Amino acid sequence: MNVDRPIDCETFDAHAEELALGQQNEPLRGRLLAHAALCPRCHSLIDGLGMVADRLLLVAPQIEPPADFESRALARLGAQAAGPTHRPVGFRWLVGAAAVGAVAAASLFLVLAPGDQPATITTAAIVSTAGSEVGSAQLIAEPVPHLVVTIAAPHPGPGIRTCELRRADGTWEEVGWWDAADIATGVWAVGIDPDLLDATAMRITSDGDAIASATFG
Amino acid sequence: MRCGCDLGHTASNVCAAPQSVGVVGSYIVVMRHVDRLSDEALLGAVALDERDAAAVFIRRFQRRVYGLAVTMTGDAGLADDLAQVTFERAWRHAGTYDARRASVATWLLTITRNLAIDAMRVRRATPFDPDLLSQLLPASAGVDPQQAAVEADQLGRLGAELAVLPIDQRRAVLLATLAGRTASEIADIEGIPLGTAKTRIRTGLRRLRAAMAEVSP
Repeated sequence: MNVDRPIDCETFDAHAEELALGQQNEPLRGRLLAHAALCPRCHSLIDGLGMVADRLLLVAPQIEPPADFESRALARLGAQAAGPTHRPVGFRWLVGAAAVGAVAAASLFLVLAPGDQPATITTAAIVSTAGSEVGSAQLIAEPVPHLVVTIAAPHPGPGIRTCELRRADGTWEEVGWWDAADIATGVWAVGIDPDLLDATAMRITSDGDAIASATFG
Repeated sequence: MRCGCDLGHTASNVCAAPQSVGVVGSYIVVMRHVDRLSDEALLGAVALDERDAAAVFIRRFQRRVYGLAVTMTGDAGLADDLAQVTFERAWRHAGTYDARRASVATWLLTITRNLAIDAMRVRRATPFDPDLLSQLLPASAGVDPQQAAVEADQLGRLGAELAVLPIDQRRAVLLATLAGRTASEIADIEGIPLGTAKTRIRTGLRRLRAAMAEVSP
């Protein structure tokens, strides 16, 4: 194959399955992906095939690993965490200030069972009033309705952060709050009424002033 | 400002069930119930460097991850190494997880698959186990019925369509996805021309893609 010639849809089609299965080698892999990035038809094709290939992995048999697997894995993570650069630079923001803040759990966590999978999820980016993305919000229907808020870039300064959801009729309902002094960044979750799963937006206020919002879509 | 109870909670959601928790501070509340977190919230806690969350995460998914690694490589020692690296990668890149794309289990297993494919490129040659396919479908004996129900739900329409694929296509698709075999290797295993192997993979995967597209919004 001529590596200088751009990939066309017919060529992409011939290699799509290998690409979706992770079996395609460079440099062809890169050229195929570059084509898909600019071609809606091929992007859709590889997106769908990739989703199938990924989801089929769930069919694999589950096998008990050696008895000391967990302890060895934890030791490995511990050794990594002790290192000077234990996470990629791009990831530091997520854990940086949150190391002591941790996750604030809601009562919903008391009713979730291990292995529960959120079946219905609506996700939206949380954008600050200055226009920058600071985290994400997710409305999750199952196994119980809940809202998960991930704050990656905290609003500066102390204060009480209040979280509200906007109903379809435009009214706002407070669903919870946290103290920025304790939880600056991290994952925060709360159980919500089922009818709030249709919320159109979320906003976060600090002592009454809106500091960020998300629009569900 | 505190939530008003006498336990000193600093987030309103934590106070939802203070009596049943009976501890001071949101951090301990979370850690006492980390085994009840949804997969998604658990991964969020892992991203925040919570050691207890990492332990629960490993315990929850180690059978899946190790099972896929064994299935793909046919080598218990190599599978153990790959599974260990999978959890390390998951811990390092937890912040990149996108719930809109895949479940946590699927996301984790794609890490295992990619590691296995890379490893097999270097040390291919593990002979194919002819009993492998019979282990893949239907669900192997000994699987917890509740777990099987969760898997069926996650596979959804895809699982139903997989079950009715013509057997030759199903074998080709499973060999390609779960056993990580290339079209050329599948041709050898099945004793068919390379072109036929490619056609079976292509037709099977695209049929599954079409089935998933029907149920996607």
